[in-house]
Amino acid sequence: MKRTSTLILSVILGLAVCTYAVAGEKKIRVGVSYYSLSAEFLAQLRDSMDEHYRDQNLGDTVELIVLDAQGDANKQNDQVYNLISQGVDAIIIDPYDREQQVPAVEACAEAGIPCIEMNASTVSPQRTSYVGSDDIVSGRLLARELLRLSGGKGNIIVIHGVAGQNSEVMRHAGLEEVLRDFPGAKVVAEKVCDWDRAKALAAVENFIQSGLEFDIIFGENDEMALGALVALENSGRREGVFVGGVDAIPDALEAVKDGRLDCTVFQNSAAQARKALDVAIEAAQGKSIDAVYDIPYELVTPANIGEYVK
Amino acid sequence: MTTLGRLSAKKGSATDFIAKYGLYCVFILLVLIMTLSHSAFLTIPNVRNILLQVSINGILAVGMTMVIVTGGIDLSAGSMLAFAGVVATSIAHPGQSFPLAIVIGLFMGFLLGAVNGFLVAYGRIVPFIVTLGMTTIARGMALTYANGRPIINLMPSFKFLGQGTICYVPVPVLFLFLALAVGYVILNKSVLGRYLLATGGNEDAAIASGVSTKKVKFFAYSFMGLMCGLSSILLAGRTNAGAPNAGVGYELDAIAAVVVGGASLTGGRGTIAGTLMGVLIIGVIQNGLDILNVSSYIQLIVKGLIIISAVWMDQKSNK
Repeated sequence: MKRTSTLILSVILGLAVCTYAVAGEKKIRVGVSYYSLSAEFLAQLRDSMDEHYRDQNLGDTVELIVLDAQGDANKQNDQVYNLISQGVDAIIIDPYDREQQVPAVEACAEAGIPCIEMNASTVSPQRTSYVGSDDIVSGRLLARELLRLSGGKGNIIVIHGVAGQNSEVMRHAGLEEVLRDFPGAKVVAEKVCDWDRAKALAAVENFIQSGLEFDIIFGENDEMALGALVALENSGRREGVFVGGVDAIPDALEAVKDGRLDCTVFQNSAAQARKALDVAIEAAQGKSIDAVYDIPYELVTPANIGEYVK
Repeated sequence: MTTLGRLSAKKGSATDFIAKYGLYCVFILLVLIMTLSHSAFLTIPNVRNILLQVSINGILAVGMTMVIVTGGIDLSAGSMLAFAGVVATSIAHPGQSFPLAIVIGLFMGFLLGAVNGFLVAYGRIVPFIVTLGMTTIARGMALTYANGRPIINLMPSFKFLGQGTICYVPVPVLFLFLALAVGYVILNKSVLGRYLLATGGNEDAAIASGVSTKKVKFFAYSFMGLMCGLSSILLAGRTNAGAPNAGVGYELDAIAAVVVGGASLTGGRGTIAGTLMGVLIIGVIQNGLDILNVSSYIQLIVKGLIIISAVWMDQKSNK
């Protein structure tokens, strides 16, 4: 019996391996390390890069190796070390954490492999380039729009993403910065909901239950803003509250179009993914590249929603 | 399948061989397949990578083996690791005492493990429930202590524990060897090891023959906690930070390694050598599938299939 099972086990493995074994001959090999591929925004980033790869017919000259750290900082570092030991020509990393991914970026530098940070950055000065948007700008844009809607005053609930992540820290910093100009507005409640829609839904339900008075919900991403929105709608509290998020995921754009969500901030993930791949290839070819490629954020409201959805 | 079964039933020695060394065969086969599939797999830097990458799971799995052979389970390992890690790193900034940070980190892990052990052994609450409760308690304590943010700015010697090498061998790998050696001596060479196995095999019989099964269980969970403390320090060193959200799901990888390694979840059976094989098999799968650029979604399926197959195989061979 044991032998049969051993056989079955090896067949499973063999199949998995054979299906995916790739014969890479003198192509430029680019490793892409995502901290997670289980969220819509990140999957979109990957899809945009794949699309760009196909559209530009890069298949003949470039091989993409895509890894997913499943939301674990240590695992992401491990995956980058794996890429290094495979001797890839460039690495694109979407870091989980500003601090914890520093060893990975430094290992790339040590191995002499160009390391392009995409979408989020680390604090390491050793990266080759950063391709992404300045997160503080999205915080500012969202805060200004919500405060414009509320007449520059009101009680604010802040729904935080995973504490310590670059986008969480910087989007919040953008809000704080804008709040200095609006003495009539203040944060009355904050909750860390890990970018998660269901957690934000529960949090806002509880805030409503507690009788808290609030006028604005500042979602650090769309998933959480949409969760908050559902809580408001279900309890009949949607009127008089302004809700917005960041990322402009398709769901959020629909919600803005339908007049349910007040605003979102478009982070051009497609442009980030395209640029990151281009930069990585150029770096691998030894061309000189810039330290930062900024992909600007854009505010999306019912007024300009037509430019984002058909 | 039946033909094969009958054949091996006739050839008693062959069956014995496979039953005894099946796990090693699977491992060698796995390495062989990976090596043939990609030239970067069996290289010294990559072997070093694999060992480094399994070191934390390996250390946790040594602790988990102790718990599982007593017929218990510890679901709180990842959370205990997170708590020990934030406490240790909070006193490991440049200029602070390195030995103190290490001792405190180890002690915090041990302490939480001892609480689990006390409640299981003396409180007579089922291990699943005790450690399930500890999962959220320790996570909450870690988040509260660190105020939800990773603790950064660690002293260089702390980073050395996670990122340094001695004679080309990464420091966490040395600690893995140490943990394996200690685990081996306890489980295979000491009276305590026999008591651990006896407690899980038949608790009533163990009590009847004078084994204090309460003390034995208390030891197992405390030892698991200590291993969490050790892992927490290495993990923090590897990522330059003590993160309160570190280690989510690590206990499941450790349990998987122990079970793949041939330990019985009902207790009474398990070896450190088997656990090491389990750890390596899981590590090689992880590393190999990454190198082969297999989609991470598919990887999860493959990993699950391998865990189930290994246990199924084990059950069949023990009928």
